[in-house]
Amino acid sequence: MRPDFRSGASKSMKTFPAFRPLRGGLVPLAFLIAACSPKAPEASKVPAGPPGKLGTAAVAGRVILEGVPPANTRVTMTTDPFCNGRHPGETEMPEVAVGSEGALENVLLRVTEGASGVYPAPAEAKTLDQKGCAYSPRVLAIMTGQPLKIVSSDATIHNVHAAAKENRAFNLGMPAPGARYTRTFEKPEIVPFRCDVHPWMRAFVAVVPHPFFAVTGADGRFEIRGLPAGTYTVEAWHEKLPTQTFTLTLADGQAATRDVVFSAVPSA
Amino acid sequence: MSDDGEMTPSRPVRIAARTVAVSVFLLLIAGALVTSTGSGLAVPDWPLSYGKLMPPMVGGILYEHGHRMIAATVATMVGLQILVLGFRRTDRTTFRLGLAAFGAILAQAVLGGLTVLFLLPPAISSAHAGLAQIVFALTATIALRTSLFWARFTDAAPRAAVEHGLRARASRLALWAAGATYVQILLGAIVRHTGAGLAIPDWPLSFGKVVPTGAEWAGDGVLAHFTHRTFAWAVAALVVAAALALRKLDALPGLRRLSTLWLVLVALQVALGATSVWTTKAVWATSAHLAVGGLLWIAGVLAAVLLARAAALSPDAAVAEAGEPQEAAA
Ligand code: HEM
Repeated sequence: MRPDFRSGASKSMKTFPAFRPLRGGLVPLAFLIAACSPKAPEASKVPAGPPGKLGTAAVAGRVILEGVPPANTRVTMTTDPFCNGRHPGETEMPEVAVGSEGALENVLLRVTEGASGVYPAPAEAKTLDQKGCAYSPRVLAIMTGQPLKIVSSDATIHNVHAAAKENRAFNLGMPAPGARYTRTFEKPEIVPFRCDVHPWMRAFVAVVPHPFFAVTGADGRFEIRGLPAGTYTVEAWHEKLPTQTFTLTLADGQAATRDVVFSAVPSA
Repeated sequence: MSDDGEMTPSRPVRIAARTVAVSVFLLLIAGALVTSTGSGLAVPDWPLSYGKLMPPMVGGILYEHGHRMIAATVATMVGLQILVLGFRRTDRTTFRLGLAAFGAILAQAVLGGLTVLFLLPPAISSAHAGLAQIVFALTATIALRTSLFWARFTDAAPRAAVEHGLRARASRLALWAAGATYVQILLGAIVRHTGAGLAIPDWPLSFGKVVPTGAEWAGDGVLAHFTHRTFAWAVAALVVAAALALRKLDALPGLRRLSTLWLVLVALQVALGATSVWTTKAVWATSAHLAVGGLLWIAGVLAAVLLARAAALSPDAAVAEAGEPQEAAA
């Protein structure tokens, strides 16, 4: 049986014999803290409401960064020989990853206005891997209720700390390659992930209540398909740069093109 | 066991108490490094670490698990100290302080575990930081009360030519300074554990002004950060006033040196607070700021304890005590 290193208060407290004499005081204290926490666990609910519609319109485009990109953080990974072996010397973090002709990677595009109704979550999971002491992918989007599979391909220890605000935050131990967990998120938000063993490791998992989203690849391209005819506000979010939005109206079957331009804030 | 502090403690007691107090200080530094390096959640489970007693000490695990190991060792030492204090016939108050220190360090371990399991809620993390300084104060007071210096002080105090008014004033100021330093430590803990350390990016001004204005107050953590940096001036003023008052009690041994140390520590602490901001929270600066904050607090506690001792042993206290039954009889 695989040990579960979940950071679940009730579970860990039960397994620690030295706690037993203190339980009388600790259990109420734990409940008090849990009750006061805005992130108290919630039962997974099937969202109620009219079903959301799918259509035949689409919007595609390219996200580019104009100007000189801001400097990325540089780190050395000497605190872990495994990571240092993969990335010796100073390594630049791909916070602002710019490809040819300003193509901006890792931008999340999601419809923020215009989509209504309840969309069923896909059953197939999306995977967040830990590979070479970095998250892969760095930005990932899933639907509310869609399983997120968290795996590690690294022969070193990681912890996966999801600093969720709207959903329940968690901290999982991944002591060996092959370790895996599956988690779902019930509420829309962009959840920052970090590894506290390797503090340079960062990922962002966007939880969206409908299927109208995309994340740009190395070529900066995106495509959102299956939209019913209507007017939409689309948000382009980047972990470092100010969020951009655009509005467009689509007819049935229309394939619109919209490029999004981020401007590099000139450094002082 | 004797009544309060009447005998010179044996060498093992003195060594044990001093070692324990120094170890608690080292534990404080180890704890500071955990937060300053952002390693608080590098080990997701507790009391085991990744289900083991000894996980691989890589990355943040070195700080977090290292802190746990040092804490377990120091807690054991604080427990053993009770036996040393009990068997070696120290006075009753010191023994009780030993018991209190052990109780406090056990509670500290529970708070440390809870903060990991609940993903570092600022309230629990700040309580953990606050209780750490209580453990430090208790063990430092034990080290003081079991030292040869304490015996010398006890000897000299009844004969010291100290004006009652000056001593009472110094005593009051020392209590206020120590109390304010503790409040400041709690404010610092809130700043640190809510991630407000860089909420105001400059120092000594705040956003280029004496007081932030308008929308600047809406920034995350600005209020906590500004309160901490402003209250520092009240702490500094009280510490300077108390340290200067100590210097007027020259007839009591050790107080002049304590006063000098106290003044140096408060200046250093303000400089380290500023350096934490200027270096955008360099690990060494924030850790040193926490450690020197602890020493500043201990200087206040020891000053207050020594002045209370001097008051209890002063000739006017003896007169008052002798007078009481007569008044009662009258
Ligand atoms: C003179 C009295 C002061 C005392 C006793 C004091 C004490 C402390 C302590 C003990 C902490 C850490 C709390 C913990 O986590 O346990 C702290 C944090 C902090 N203090 Fe002070 N402080 C003082 C003055 C200042 C000043 C003048 C500044 C200047 C801005 C400052 C800036 C900070 C900052 C930025 C932090 C958070 C560091 C981090 O996030 O790691 N402090 N203080």
